[in-house]
Amino acid sequence: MDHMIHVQGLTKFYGDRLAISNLDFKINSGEIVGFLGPNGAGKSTTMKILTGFMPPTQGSVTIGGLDIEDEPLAVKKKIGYLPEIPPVYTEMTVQEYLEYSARLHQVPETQMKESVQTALKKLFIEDVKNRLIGNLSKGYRQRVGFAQAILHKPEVLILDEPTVGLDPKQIIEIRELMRSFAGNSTVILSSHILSEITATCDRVIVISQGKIVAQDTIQALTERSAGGKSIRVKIHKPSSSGLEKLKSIAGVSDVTQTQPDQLFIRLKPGVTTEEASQISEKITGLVVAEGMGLLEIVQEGASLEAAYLALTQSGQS
Amino acid sequence: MLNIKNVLTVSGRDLKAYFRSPIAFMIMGIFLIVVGILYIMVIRGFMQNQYYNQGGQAPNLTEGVIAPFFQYIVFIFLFILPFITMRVIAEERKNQTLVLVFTAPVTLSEFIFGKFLAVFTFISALIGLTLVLPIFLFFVSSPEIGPFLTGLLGSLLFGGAILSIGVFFSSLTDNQIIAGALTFASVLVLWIIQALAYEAGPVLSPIFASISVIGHFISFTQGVIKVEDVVYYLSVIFFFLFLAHRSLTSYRWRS
Repeated sequence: MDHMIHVQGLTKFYGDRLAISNLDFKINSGEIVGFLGPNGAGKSTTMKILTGFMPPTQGSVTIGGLDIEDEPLAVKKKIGYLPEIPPVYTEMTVQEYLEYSARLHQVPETQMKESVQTALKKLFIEDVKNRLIGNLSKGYRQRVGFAQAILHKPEVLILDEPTVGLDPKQIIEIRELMRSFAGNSTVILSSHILSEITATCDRVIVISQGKIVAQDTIQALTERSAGGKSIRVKIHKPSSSGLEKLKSIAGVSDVTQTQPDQLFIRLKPGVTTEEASQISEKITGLVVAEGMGLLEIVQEGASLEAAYLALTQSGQS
Repeated sequence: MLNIKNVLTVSGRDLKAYFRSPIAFMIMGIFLIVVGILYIMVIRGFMQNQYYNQGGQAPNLTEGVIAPFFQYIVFIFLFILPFITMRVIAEERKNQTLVLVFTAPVTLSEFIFGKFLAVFTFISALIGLTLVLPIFLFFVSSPEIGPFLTGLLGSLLFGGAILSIGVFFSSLTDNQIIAGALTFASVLVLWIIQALAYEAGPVLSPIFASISVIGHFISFTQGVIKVEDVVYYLSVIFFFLFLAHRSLTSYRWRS
């Protein structure tokens, strides 16, 4: 089999609103691929179509050689899906819920016990298996949802923001779990958190405003913006006039306020290290003059973050 | 066709969930109490009739007790069934759990039928419990078995029809209250249709009579199974379950 997942011309309109437009991509068996993009970019919509939850307006999806419109049941057998909100029934216990999901996914009764047990272990939720899901915390519910996705040992795992709601320790455990699938299953996970994608994925597909703006290995993507240096500034009191003035410094490509007290300043490609230092000086002076309160200033080389912001910035004001 | 195993998986889950919640028991309790009280009134009325009309004129057990029994049951159904169906699909929409079934190798039809089967099983249990009352008559006297069995069948078909309407309205919204209110409203419409079947002129009356949910029940209480009545009820059930299918399909397109 050449490609596990083959998507062509995928388009979805919600009424008049175009959610995703002409997506084309292929994913090989055993890969872990990340969908990266801002909120509202179309990642969840794409996943909903891949899992057969909703039909596309146009385009085709082939999984394991089967078209999702022609043979939906056969395709769905191969897929394990964790949506943004884990689809759990609060009045059931964890064990009951997983058994229910196993049956829905056609797990034979003879393998039921073992499958559920394995999933409980892998997600570290054995100790809550007899508790009502309604009484569990968000983190536990998320893991129950994840367990539901892997129960029937699917060939393809589609995970929408899988680590949302988990504490740092749990996040590391889940990432290890996802990496453990590499080679055996195909994994697609979506996130708007960069570090998540870099920690887990081989390849990344960057989606912005309903279109694929880049797809490549993380390595390649990072190198693509090589030569584009950046300067990270931490300030006390940002002001919009101050930001405007920063943007107008020669050599500065754009200024993004990544957090209320942090600015990410991308420099134009071709700017030398010498010039970057001079720009840093100008930035320092400006920040102080505008009374924004300089706390920290760091020069950086090429990074995936720069590439990501560049890709998702174009088209926005 | 339908994979029965999937249908049973869905309905089994629902039934377990009903009996976890106190609402199911409350509904059962209220239903049994109301039926019990009405039954006592029926028996009392029957015995008074017997007393005052010694001999031929009094209605026999079948007409005097068994027929009214089933008539009361379906009457109460009109009011109680919307409470049973209101959460059936609306709750899943609200809690975003439909995605589990929609992305599993289970068809939408199997899901809807499973939901219907769960509520149908529930009301069958309700009817079953109340049967204790008329069955007792068979031990102390000899009422006709025919009308008893056909009355039972008619009640199940009637109940199924109302349930299917409730399942449909539940599939339209994520708000249980709205689903219940719409189902109630349609029950009132059905009422009116039956009234119109009596009151309207010679041209319109038969039309209303042919679509009246209540009208098609009457023969069952008299020991008669009319093919047209059975076909009518089965058609209503399949029509509204089909509408529920359409409604959820459209939900998937949009959501």
